[in-house]
Amino acid sequence: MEDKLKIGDKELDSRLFIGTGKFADYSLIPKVIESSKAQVVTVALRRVDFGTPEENMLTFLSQNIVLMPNTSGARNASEAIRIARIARAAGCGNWVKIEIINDQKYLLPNNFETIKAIEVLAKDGFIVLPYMSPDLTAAKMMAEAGAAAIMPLGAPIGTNRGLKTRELIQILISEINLPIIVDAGIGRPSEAAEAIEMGAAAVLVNTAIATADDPVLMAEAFGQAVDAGRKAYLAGPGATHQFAEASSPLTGFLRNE
Amino acid sequence: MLVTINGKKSDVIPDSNIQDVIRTKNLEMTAVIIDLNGNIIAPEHWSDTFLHKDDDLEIIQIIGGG
Repeated sequence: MEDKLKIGDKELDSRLFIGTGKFADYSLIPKVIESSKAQVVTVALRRVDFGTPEENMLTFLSQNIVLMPNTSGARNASEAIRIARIARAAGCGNWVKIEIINDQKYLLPNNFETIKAIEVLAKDGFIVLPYMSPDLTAAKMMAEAGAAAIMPLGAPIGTNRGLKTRELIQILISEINLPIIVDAGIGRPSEAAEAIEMGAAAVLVNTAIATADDPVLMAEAFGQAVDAGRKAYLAGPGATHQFAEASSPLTGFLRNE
Repeated sequence: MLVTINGKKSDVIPDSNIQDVIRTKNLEMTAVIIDLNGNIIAPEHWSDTFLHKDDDLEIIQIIGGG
């Protein structure tokens, strides 16, 4: 069955996007990508710390992966735009995850500055995927500004608390004619399956995999959960009922009157 | 000669090029992106791009992130 996720210029088989932060060792990342079958991964840009420079992440990623650099650290649209342009110039391709945050306690995104950044970057040829607080008006404005997908949070970044914003995400799925990708908060494969089952186009998972006891096995579980959720969505779940509806016929019972 | 490197004033030898700075700081294996005064300098031009007084050099790397 042909069931591709189309975003920008890409057709993807996997609906699991993976973040590469918080891994104890970068050498785990190729194994995580392999076991999960993910095709899109996020990376971040930082000034080199001369005391403890890290290894170059790109050396751990194969050429056929879609890189999605994020703009983490940006506090406003102009900082995000600058980071996006540096990433593209450095060979990361034209996908970018806009992430603009002013709140350090909950790391909730600034939807207003994000809309401004999308307008500029979409005109500049980027495939723009904004991380956002699930709000219908903001999502519509992001779509109009040229976003390629909308990425609402399920719960605050790194909390592993699941789909706390489920009702709001459901509204975005029904009202926005773009892929809705649940980014942040998903802590377990069952929650990823739930998001996809309700019609989310994909999920972006980082902390839940990176902080598992066995990240490679957890990545595989997330890959399978996302596949199962998608199949269930396509299969069309049956209706729910208040009261019991017998599964076996209610005639011919082997009992006395 | 004073220039700004990653937001901090730094003293570099006059007539240093970008390759010299990267070598001095032992960043051959890590530095992937050089932004000089707001312009990205491609690796093939690191050795022929010379620093001038008050230049603003950003040495950036790609790391894990979500």
